[in-house]
Amino acid sequence: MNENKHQNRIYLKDAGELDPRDDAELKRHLRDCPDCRTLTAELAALHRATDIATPESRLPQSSLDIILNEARRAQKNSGISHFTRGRKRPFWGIPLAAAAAAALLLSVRALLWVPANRPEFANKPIAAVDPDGWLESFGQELDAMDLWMAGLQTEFESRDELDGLATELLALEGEQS
Amino acid sequence: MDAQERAWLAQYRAGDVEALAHLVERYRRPLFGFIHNMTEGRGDPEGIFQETWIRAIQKLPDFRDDNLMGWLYRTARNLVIDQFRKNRFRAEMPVSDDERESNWVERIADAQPGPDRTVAGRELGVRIRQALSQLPREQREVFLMRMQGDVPFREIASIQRVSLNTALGRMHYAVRRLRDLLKDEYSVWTGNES
Repeated sequence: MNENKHQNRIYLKDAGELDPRDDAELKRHLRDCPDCRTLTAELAALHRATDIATPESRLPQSSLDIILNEARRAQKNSGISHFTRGRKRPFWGIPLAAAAAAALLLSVRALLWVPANRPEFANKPIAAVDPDGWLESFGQELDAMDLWMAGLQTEFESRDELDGLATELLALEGEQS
Repeated sequence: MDAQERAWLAQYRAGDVEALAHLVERYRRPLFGFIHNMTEGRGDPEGIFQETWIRAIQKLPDFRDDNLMGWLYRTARNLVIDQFRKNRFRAEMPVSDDERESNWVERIADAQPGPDRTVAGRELGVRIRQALSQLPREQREVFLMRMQGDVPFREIASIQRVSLNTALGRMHYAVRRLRDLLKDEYSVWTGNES
């Protein structure tokens, strides 16, 4: 049992995995144990023997080409480099962002829709129904949004910018949720 | 992995495919030797070598371990086992053990001489490979991973899904068996000529 412990330590030492405390104990043991000294010498010899027994075989160029072509294909599929993989902005974000903006605009428009048969308050001066100027400033915001949407349409071909916008919108949505 | 291997891995991840060629070359001899010794030259060791690297290519971008060699051995070992399972019935051909062994040894000796290209070195290489082929598969795996691939015992135990003590025990049985099989060579190596 004790001999097994020392044998295991010899193998672990050979592999560089022996705890320093066990290493010191093994060194002491080796002084008094010829069998373990022989095993240590055997291992050193077996390293050399295994080296001799390892076929030299040059890797055929065709094998290396297959491996490298596979690597090129993998890198091409995953983007410019492996480091950028996973950070690519999603293309589907563009239509999603545009749809979200359009839906927002339509819902605001629907809220402020004024029927043809105007109510009585519509005929009053604006200062009478909106003394704080809230409606006026909201109208200005809507005008700005209209301009923004028009710009969005004309710049639709500038995919990178839209893609960035989509990412920002998605990030904002993520923060809010 | 040493600093150079880490640098090649980083270069490969940054898009330099040629850096992978250096890694393949660095691990070629021990890995191919392991596959060759595990398959005893039968089947398609070159195909297994390629497949091991192709799987590594898929894994390398996310590889966070520091022991690429251990991972390559694990993959190669699983592929060798798969190949044996697939070819189990085909392998049951009426060929004697002696004939099979001699064919394998001749193929390796003729096509792939070892680093010591003298006749004596080649003969010794053949005798060692013959002895290795007589070890049970689990013991041969442990022995080759440790001695050829420098894979740590803890990694070997993990690859074989056994305890560290079992891996060490298998190693010890392999060494004892080789001691018997290579009696003449042993006496010279260890200086115990009688």
